[in-house]
Amino acid sequence: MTVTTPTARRGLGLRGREAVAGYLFLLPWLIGLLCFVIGPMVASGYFSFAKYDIVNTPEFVGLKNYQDIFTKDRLFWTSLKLTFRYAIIVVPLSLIGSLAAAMLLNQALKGTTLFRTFFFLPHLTPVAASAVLWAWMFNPDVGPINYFIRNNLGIENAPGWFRDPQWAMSGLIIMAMWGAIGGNTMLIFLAGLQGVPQELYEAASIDGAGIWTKFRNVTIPLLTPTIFFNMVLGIIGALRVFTAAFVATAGGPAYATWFYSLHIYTRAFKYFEMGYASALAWILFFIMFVFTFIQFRASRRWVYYAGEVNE
Amino acid sequence: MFDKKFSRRQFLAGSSTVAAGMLLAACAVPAAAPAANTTSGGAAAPSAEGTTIIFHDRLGSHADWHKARVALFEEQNPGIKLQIDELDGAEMFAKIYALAAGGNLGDIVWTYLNTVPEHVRKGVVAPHDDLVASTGFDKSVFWPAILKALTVDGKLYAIPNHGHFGTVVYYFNKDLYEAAGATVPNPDWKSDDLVDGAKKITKAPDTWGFRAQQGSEHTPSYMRMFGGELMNEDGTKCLLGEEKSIQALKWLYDLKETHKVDPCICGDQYRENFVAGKVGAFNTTPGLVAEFSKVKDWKFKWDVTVAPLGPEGTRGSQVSGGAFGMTPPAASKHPAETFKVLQFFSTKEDGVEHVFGGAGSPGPRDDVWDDPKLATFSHIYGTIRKAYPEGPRPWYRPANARSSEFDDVMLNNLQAIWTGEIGFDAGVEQVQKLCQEVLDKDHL
Amino acid sequence: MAQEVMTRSTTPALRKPLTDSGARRQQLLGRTLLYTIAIVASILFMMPFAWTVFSSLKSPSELYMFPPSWLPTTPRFANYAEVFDVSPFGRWLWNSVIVAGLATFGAVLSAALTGYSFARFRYPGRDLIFLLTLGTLMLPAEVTLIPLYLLFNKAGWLDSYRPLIVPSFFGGGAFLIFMMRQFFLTLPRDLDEAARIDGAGYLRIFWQIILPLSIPALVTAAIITFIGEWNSFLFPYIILNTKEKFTIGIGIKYFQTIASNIDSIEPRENLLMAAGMMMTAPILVLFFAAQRYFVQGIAMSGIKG
Repeated sequence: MTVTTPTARRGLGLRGREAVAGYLFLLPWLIGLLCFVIGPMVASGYFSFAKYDIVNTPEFVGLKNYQDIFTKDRLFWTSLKLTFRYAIIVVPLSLIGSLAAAMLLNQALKGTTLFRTFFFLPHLTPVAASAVLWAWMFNPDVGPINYFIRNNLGIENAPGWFRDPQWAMSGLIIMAMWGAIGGNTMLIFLAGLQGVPQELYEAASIDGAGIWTKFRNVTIPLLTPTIFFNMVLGIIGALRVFTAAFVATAGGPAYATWFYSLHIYTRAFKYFEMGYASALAWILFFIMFVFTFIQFRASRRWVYYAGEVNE
Repeated sequence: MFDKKFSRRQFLAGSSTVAAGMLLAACAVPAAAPAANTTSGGAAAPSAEGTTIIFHDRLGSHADWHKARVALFEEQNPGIKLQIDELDGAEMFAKIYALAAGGNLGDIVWTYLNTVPEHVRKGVVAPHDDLVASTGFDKSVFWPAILKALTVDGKLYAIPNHGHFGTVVYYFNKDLYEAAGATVPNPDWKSDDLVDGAKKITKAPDTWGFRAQQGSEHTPSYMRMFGGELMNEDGTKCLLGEEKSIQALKWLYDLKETHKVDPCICGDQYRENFVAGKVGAFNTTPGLVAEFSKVKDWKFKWDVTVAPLGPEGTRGSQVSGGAFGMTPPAASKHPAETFKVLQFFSTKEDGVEHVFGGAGSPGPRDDVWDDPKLATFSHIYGTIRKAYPEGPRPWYRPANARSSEFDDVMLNNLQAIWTGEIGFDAGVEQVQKLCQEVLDKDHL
Repeated sequence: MAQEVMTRSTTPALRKPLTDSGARRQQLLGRTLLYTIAIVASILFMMPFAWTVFSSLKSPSELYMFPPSWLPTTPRFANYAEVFDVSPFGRWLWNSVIVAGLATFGAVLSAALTGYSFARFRYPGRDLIFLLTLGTLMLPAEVTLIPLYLLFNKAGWLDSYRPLIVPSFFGGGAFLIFMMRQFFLTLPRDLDEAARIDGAGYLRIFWQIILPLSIPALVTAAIITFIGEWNSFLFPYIILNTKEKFTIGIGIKYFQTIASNIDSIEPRENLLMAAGMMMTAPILVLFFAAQRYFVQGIAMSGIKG
């Protein structure tokens, strides 16, 4: 998009100097990527073809782990299905919720500083505390939620929540939304909203645009890189859902919340089948990679970058 | 980006960068070949003036008690320092195995009865038989059932510390029983008495007559109460689908579905609800007696008794407890000193004081359970001894060391029955089939 | 500057000249609605936190009352003191300040460098490396934990803070890099071009033009990273052995176990909640203090206009 005149000064063109600078900026990450990320990933890739119990030397078993996952592991498909079901509900809800919350906080209301802090509070509640909290909130007998349902709504047959396979997932989703709407996603949207030039709104106002038109034609298009980022990360995060189920339901009852990452964790740190867990992880890796790739492919049709460099 | 094809040159350059990186990474990361590193004898360097023994202990009341005993041990064994390394319960083994993989394992690891085969397989515990023989250590004082659980392929891999008969101690709220006009639980009560009392006490949804729990510590005792078994002695056949075992499952099922005295057969927050006076009775290990006794401001009278008799007069039990294992010579450089620690934590005196120290259950030996001092603490030890003159029954484990997996499969598939996800008969068939599948897997 | 902030964050609707009372009324209605929503949402969002605060002030017997109660009858501030009696809590907090602080600094700085490289420079292999970077987000941490442990074991870094801090200085992880890249992509390229024509070097452009414009993103990145580091459990747990060296993320887990064993079997979640509150307070203060940077805005208008 920008004009770069190839000046062949001192043997290295502008393009060449740009490349060198680019690599220099990249250098710390390149080292980090190799040492702390790709190295361990390569190791786990090797483990996925081995029987590895953490303590003893890995024993190469070829494709056995993968074969077992696809043919013998009953929980593989169960957990994959549950994870996708969770993601399909949670990702759109939390994106819309977070965007709405961010926009609300961007309205220059008096006390915005306080509101912003309040919205962020669930995210700040320590997991150890919130685990106890939610177990108590959702306790079907003596918890406040069912107390409210019985005594204020007059519904005798209140849900069993984490005790009932039909309700456990809903409980986890409510829990997740509580933390997600005002969390990191909202902060990132806020940072993005700050980047929308004010004069574009002014121009739109002069053209007589209403709130909706401005939202539709100014906010959304300029926010697409942020929406895109939050969506990609949201999907990856939802497919890796772990903590909520780990602390609140332990994957139960009757495998109703046995998410894929819980399956990996169980295999890795409860049964100590690190090889098998690595194979599971690489399958998830592959699935998420395909998803992300598709999103990037599709993104060129809807994401607008002000300063992108393409050739 | 991504919306255009990479040029060939770009691709070559990029992929060679990546390839070089992978090569570099592969060299830098020793992970692919975690050698049995034997360089260090423990997480901390031994102190100059003597031998330091590192004990990977379980954080909580046990480790607190062990720490309280360190001074006495060091006084009795001059020249040996004992260092208690407290590990968080849930990730205790993950940490121990990581330490072992890195060659940083200390001298003693905590083990449970159902994890011994796994520990043996991973080489974090070593056979103790030579030291038992050379020191003249009398292991016959311990219950045969617990020694059996600590023995793999004829070798003893740990020395018992504390133990009990399983979750056969029934804690009950005496006030609730009396107010409901129900027969107060007693050593001669039967499974039907439990149901009757619970029915009278239950005021759903906040007060429940009984809270049963599930898991490999609990289920075998219910089965045995009805004359059934969870699995065979070798740990190769699942017996959940046998007639007597099904009777036990039906009894549990009826608690929730027919008699409606237990909300879920899941025991969620049973302790908190019991303390709040909302539970008639629940069962667990005798460990809680020690802890309950320390509480001063109870709002009601509580007591304990043994598990009810089954319809045919049989009692269920399953030995359980904790034991400490010496690590292999590669990790423990001082086996003789290490064994002194194991001996120290297995004496009769330690077994009794364990309770008074608030750590939990007594030592797993008859002379401890019959000790008059222990009787002053609670009647339950004597009551149990009288009810089970033959001692606790053994803990059968999966032969392939897949205890955790077996437990998860059993738990979740039983939950499917309790929650009505599947009918009783079909559910039993399914849990039997899936548990057998786990037992049929290769060795962990 | 301050004035500009004020005007910038004012809604466009407000700035519209109000010609008739109908529009005024409509606008008043709109504001009331917004306030109502914000207040109701605040209450909903605050509930778990408020519950934690109230529980931390309850006596053990109040914790599981039925019907459930929110407020303690008499607040027990002694719970907070008790936390320090039963654990080296202050020490753990301090350790975390150091570890999370340094790690956050390194991560944000190096992620900004990396993100800038991905967003602004053209060089062979860029997109491939970026794809690879994104890919690392997708491999669950559980399976790289043990290789990392072995790596740091080989390096002799176990039971030290180096494994928790040093890697942060090498890129800060794919999440932050992706975030910074996305943010830099939204900055108009004319900014750099103008500076380059004035003869500024790449590093100077980055340091003097790009970073100051990126404060909301940097602060957001810092907060997200800091909270993540503050709460992280499994990795520090595997790395650290000495109890005094623990960070608060491990500390709170330990506290969970300790709390249920303090000379009573009564629910002692009140202590856990008090500990949790003290663990949260520093980040809450940090978040509150960092807020003003959220609205600082990117003064693009001044440059572009």
